[in-house]
Amino acid sequence: MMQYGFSFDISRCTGCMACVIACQDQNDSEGDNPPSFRYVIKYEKVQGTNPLIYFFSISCQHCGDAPCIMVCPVRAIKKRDEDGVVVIDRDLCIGCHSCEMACPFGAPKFQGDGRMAKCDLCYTRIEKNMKPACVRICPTGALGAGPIEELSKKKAEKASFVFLTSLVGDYHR
Amino acid sequence: MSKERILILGNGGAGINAAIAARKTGFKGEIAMVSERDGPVFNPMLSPYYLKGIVPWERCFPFDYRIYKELDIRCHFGTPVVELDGIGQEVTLGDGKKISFDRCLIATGASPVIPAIEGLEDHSLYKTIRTPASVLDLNGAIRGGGKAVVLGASLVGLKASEILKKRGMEVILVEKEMQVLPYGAHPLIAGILTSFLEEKGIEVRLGITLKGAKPWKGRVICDFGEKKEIADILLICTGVRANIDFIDPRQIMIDKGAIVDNRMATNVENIYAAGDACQVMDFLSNRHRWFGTWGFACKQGLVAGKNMAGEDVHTADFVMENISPIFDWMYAQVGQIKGYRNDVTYEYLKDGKDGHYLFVLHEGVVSGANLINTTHLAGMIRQAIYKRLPFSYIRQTLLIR
Amino acid sequence: MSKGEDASIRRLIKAKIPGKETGIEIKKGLCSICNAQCGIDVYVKDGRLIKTEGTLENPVNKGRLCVKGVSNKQYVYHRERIRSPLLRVGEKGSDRFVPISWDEALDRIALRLNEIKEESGPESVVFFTGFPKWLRPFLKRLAHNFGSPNYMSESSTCYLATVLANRLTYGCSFVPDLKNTKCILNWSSNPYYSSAPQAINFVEALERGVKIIDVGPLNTTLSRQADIHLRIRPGTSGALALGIAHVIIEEDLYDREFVSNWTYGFEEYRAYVKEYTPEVTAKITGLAPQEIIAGARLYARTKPATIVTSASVTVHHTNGVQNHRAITALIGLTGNFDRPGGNHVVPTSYYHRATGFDTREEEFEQTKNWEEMAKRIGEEEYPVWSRFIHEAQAVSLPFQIMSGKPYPVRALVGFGVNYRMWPGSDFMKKSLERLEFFVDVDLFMTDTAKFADIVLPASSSLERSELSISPSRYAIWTEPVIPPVGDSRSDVDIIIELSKRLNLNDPLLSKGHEACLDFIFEPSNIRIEEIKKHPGGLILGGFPRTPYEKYKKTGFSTPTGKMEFASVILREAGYDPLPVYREPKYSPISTPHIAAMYPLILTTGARLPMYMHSRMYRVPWTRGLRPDPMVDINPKDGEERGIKQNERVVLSTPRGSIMVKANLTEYVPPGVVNMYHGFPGADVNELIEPDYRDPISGYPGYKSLLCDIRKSNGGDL
Ligand SMILES: Cc1cc2nc3c(=O)[nH]c(=O)nc-3n(C[C@H](O)[C@H](O)[C@H](O)COP(=O)(O)OP(=O)(O)OC[C@H]3O[C@@H](n4cnc5c(N)ncnc54)[C@H](O)[C@@H]3O)c2cc1C
Ligand code: SF4
Repeated sequence: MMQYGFSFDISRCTGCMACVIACQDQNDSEGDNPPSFRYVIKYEKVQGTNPLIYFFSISCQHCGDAPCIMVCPVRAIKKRDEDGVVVIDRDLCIGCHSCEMACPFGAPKFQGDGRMAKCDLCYTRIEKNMKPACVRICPTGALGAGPIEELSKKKAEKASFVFLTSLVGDYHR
Repeated sequence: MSKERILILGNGGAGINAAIAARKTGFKGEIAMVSERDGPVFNPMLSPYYLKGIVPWERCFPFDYRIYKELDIRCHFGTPVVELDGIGQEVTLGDGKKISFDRCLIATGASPVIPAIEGLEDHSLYKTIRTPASVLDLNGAIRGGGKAVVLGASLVGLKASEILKKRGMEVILVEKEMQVLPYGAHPLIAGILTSFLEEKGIEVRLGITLKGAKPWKGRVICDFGEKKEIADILLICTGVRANIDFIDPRQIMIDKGAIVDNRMATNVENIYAAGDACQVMDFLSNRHRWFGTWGFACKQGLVAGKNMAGEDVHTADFVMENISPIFDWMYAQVGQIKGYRNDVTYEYLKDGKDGHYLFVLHEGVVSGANLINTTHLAGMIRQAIYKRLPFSYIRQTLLIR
Repeated sequence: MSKGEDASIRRLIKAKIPGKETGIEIKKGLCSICNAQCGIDVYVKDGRLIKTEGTLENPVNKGRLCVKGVSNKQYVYHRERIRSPLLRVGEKGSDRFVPISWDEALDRIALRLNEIKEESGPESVVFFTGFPKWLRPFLKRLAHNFGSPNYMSESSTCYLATVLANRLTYGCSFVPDLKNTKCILNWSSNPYYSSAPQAINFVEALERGVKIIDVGPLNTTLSRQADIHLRIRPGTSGALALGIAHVIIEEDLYDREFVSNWTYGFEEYRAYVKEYTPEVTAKITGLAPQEIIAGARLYARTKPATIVTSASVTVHHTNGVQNHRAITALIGLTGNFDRPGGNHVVPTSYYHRATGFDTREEEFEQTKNWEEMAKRIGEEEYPVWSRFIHEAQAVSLPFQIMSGKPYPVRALVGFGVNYRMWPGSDFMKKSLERLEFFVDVDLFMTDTAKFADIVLPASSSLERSELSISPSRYAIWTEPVIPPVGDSRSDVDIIIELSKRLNLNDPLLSKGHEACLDFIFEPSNIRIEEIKKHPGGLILGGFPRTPYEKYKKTGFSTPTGKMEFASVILREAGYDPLPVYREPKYSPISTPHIAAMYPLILTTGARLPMYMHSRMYRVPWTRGLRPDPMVDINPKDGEERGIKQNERVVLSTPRGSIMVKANLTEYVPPGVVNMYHGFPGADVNELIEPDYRDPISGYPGYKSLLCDIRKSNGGDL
């Protein structure tokens, strides 16, 4: 099975948030408190006397072994065979938020209708040879997307390249 | 030699996921399943949604009947297991039938505990929510109007109160401890929830026990000592107990459930347990604990299934998690709020009008959190607990916009 | 159509895939939320903008976009857009307006302006533009045709003081030659936030192994990536530059050839910088002496090296122009002036774009000589500004409105005016109330527009045509990609129409926008007609690249014909000729008695990624990223004051105080607090005195003053 995913180069992320809004623009997240399927968190640490500020851009990681799929009581979350993208059938969702608890990345978001929605890696765009909206906008090229094997090849080339899956923890540049 | 046989006791989330995993792993032998109840897998956690009218009855059964055929499962439904001989590798069913096995999974779930109160020996006096029959029974009993007494302010008790209120009943929620969610919520958070429930028109009575119950003209007289209530429905939500009466405790180690390691194996070779019937290792206390959630049951079933099919997989230790809507609020508990240890501190933060965080910290490291309307961070906080990240990490990264 | 097909098309539409089957079209537009003019691919369906994306073939942004640009959908379709001309019927500031027709609005305006001109001279009418850039040549032409010298702009507080400083020293401006450099001395610019789509240049430089020295108090991403971060106390740039010069001269790292042949006043300068030993400089700036030495050596020894400054950070100080001169003096000192990889002199055209094209922009804008008109506002106080900068000094405007001296100011015709731009913004607000007639053109009913007598609705860049010519000589003329929202019109069309109604008799302007641009670009033979043939834009070929070391042929356009360490013009005007260092007017050193009560240094206005001055506050997407006014404060200072993250605090200066939320962060060093400007309800500019200004440019000292923060009641998160 093919597995697509995001790559993220933390050394390049500036916390500019363009990816956040690009996602909202692509997915028409409007309204008073519109959810974004991608968000950016800041991490500050002081190394010796040197304060360092890092940013992480996070969204659904389309995990190989996605914990949200298992916990969904109505089995509304599935992994696509074609590209390994984790998708939700919103018609089935009952809004129990179990997936919100299961996901270590905070990827499931809840819309005004109380149902979950999340990043679908813009798979329709990918099918049309377009990049996901967030990747396309990223001003510094910190975000990437593609088949996981290709991404991991790049990883070998560049030490500062991390998969988001190993991210919620500590990172030393 | 005949085919290898995996025997699964219980047709719930844990049981079915074990069967799916065993087949996915490539298990070619026989899978047999015993269930007290006939019919496809019922998901008890959907019952509140059914009762609220969010999901139709059919959809409370997330796996349809065809799955047994697809997975080639031999079903012995409609009769319970009454005895399990782990060493002799054989079970006895209620109808006297015996089934031998090579590996067996105890996935019989749990049932509501009915407190020993005078009058409750008469099952017709009260309702519960767990099995399909109990849910339909409750559903049939709810008519517009009338009075309901909900016994036990557990999370199920809170949800039940919401349902009954929404369906037009006057609701009295009775809890013997001095707060709602006595085991899962910090008193401060419980207080906020109590006010919220009261705002929604639910009468919350704390520190009160039911002394007895008596039938009266098709209704129930609930005796609280000083006060009596005549209720149309008495709903018991005082907790659940694992369905493990058929286990011989001299063979298999049990406590509140069958005790298993991270492979879901009990102390007896070839006997596994998963879901509400078992107790697994708690990450925080390093003790075996009963968790009781749909997600854990499924995950544990999956791991058990794989191991029974010959793989060797382990789960991580478990961290308590509970998440649920209550009216239009979202409530969650992550990790341990109470009884983890004595030397903890609390950090309470408010977020906007109705957002609340309560963190439990031990030496600056997060060990638990209660969240109200801030559950978007639930998963990340649980991750922080696993990674033993300091609270400053959460403060710096997650709470900042 | 079968059910399956139907579903698949719905999926394509949902994903906004352009094509015949979805009816989604990509049209080329330009973003004008900031000044970069990024190209946007506008996804349009049924006449509505449904998505924006960067234009790949536009070299300005090469497909990238920033957080603001991608918010265009909400910006353009915002429900607060003004939909028709409005006449105020309530009190000033009351927000009570009635819609009127364009004819009525323009006639009323023309009538009133001509009346005022008749009564008290054309100079009593001020023509001002806020952040919008594209309409500037047109508005200035209108002002001068009207007879008023008082065309002024937001550039009285942004960017032009750096131009002024550079003209004083070098007689020209220059740009960093990033592509060819080996070392970047980045002086308080945060390219990742101020112009994100262009910041890839820095990423690429890092990847090439270019050395980076970052100067500035804030801890930006570039600070983290830099080889050296010189984290100075705000306002001490000048001292650091002199300290660096000291090391360079003492260690003989300067370019003797350039200095002896092409500079004036070096000995004077050398004698002055002698005082600025690393120890002395360290004391002033808060750095360690070794840091200064290391920075100086890295910059001077790596060849070529370039200096990057920001539009205004270096000049937003009460010693701003001199600080900036001290910084850029290093370019000549190290021989990096107009050399490959150094700082390249490229003539600018059409609102400050370094394209190298010859234009008649000045001739177009300045239709009257200064001598033919009254003195400009601010001219007497800031003669050097007025000598170099062909505008009035807007920061002086409220003073003249209030005093009526040397002559009364009665009317203001403004495009995108925001009184919160002014230091002591409440003072400017008061002066707006004093005006007899105020016209504001804007997209939104802003707090300032509420004071206007007539408000005219402007269309966004996506509803009009616009020309963009970038430094890489890519030119594009856009057509409107969506119909104008409401009854809005393009600013330029409004100006042209106003010119007619004022009976100014300007045949060129009357011919319209394109004819005017053809006039401006005529010397380079660039015609809009030609550009229009390429809807996706084109690279204007056939122009030679701007060469290096042009001064060798032409000398410098300074009084001495050389680079001036000591400025002859400043000397004549009674200022210090050398780029001297003076403490900020309010600082722990200059005013210890104030610092005793206001021990923290306040620096304001550093870019946040999601905001562009006040432009994006009302846009839900961007506002959602930082909903509340927040002050950045170091965790140490927060702890000392018992302040927790997100807690309400009071930020105060001797002039006043505002309530904001605390953001505890290492972004600021201990002792420094940083606050974004113009937040409605928490306007930090109110805390700054209206005359807290640089004596040469008249610029406000936004980036260094004194303040304190204390806990307020209530601990909301
Ligand atoms: C009202 C309610 C709300 C809930 N809400 C949530 C929630 O929001 N989130 C969440 O994660 N969890 C929730 N839960 C808990 C969740 O439903 C259970 O943890 C989960 O269903 C356990 O699955 P299981 O497979 O272990 O057991 P069960 O689903 O109980 O399945 C056990 C199976 O074993 C059979 N069985 C029992 N005894 C025997 C026997 N002796 N012999 C043979 N068969 C037997 C039963 O008939 C049944 O088929 C809720 C539960 C209830 C009742
Ligand atoms: S919220 Fe919806 S998608 Fe998430 S677990 Fe519950 S039902 Fe499934």
